[in-house]
Amino acid sequence: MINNVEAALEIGAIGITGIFIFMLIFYAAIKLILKLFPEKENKEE
Amino acid sequence: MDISVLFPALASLTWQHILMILIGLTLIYLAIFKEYEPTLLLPIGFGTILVNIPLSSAINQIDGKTGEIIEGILSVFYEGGIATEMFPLLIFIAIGAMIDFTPLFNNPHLLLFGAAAQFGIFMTMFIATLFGFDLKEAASIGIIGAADGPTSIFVASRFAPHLLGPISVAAYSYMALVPIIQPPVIKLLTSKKERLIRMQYSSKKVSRKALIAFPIVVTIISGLIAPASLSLIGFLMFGNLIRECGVLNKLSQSAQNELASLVTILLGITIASTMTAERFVTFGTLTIIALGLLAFVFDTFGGVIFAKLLNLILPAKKKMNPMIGACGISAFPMSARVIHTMGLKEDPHNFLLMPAVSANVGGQIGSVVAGGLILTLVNLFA
Repeated sequence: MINNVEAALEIGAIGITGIFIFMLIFYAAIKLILKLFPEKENKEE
Repeated sequence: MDISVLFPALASLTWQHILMILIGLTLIYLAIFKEYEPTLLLPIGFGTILVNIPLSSAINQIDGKTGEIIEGILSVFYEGGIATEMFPLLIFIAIGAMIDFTPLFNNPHLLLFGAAAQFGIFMTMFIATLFGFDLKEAASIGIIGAADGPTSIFVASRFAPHLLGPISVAAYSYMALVPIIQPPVIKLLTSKKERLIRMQYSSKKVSRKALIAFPIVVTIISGLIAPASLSLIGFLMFGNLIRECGVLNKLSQSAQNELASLVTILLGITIASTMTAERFVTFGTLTIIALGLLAFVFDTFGGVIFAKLLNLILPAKKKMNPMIGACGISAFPMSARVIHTMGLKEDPHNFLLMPAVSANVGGQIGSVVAGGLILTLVNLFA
């Protein structure tokens, strides 16, 4: 049981850090995508 | 003649069966009259009645004379749809087709709340191990905190199929109870002054190419970092690509409507096949239901505290309303609506809906990423 508790703590620490890393990567990806594919403003009719 | 020969089902009825039938009726009541996640709770409720009538032909039974297994249709559905993970993955295609990532493109920094509000998953997992659950069971219970039914079902069906019934019921019930669970926790953690903070929000058009690129990029990145998460994230993003590509509108509509409806019916009633009295009427079920509530509370705690921590370093003009942190859960758009309403109660001119929606969309991605990470990490440790 103690092993499970310790493992859960370790998984928790790695897991929450991992999600933040994923989100930061996705954040960077969104910024990059927005730069690569900007929305072109509609030409006035 | 002996009653057990004439009415064998009636003769085999125990108080546990009656209790389960009452639970089924309660779920049906909550679904119809309280509208708590009716699409899932109604099939689960009816299915619970179906499988708890003794000798039900809906689930596998053992022939008393020959000892052979007589197959029941719900057991067949379970083996084909849940044990193979097919139903939850099909639901992910439907959800992906429903998600609009535009709010996230407008305010990508709010993605971080989608990470912070997954805190409840890991905290609950830790607490579950203290209650004696093994690592895989604890992970399946913790994932209730993803506030994302299909992710909970996916993880539980892989790690703890025997707990699938209570975990699914807890996940969907608490998602419906977000308007009751989140406000008191938020009020406890924030001051009136904090709840009055107004947030800047940019709302621009996003190009079609950007929206098409996003699901592809996310799938490749996720796959390269955590391949175990690919089926979860990949199916979600596949559904989103169908939506955003602009040339598959018919498929996108089918995924959002027909596919979602059909699989939801099958998923709900099949989950019920695990809710037999022998499996459900245990002390463990009560513990799981209580831990599930805790997971939602800790999710809210994680999101709100993260926003408060950010405010310590942000300049005065860019401070976040900490209530937005609570929207980092996956319950979409329920959580965003709750926070928007709370904001309006504090100040009728403070419109938090758009940033709340952005954080909430971040939560939808965060919950799936969390599910993928749990699958990867638990396999490494267990």
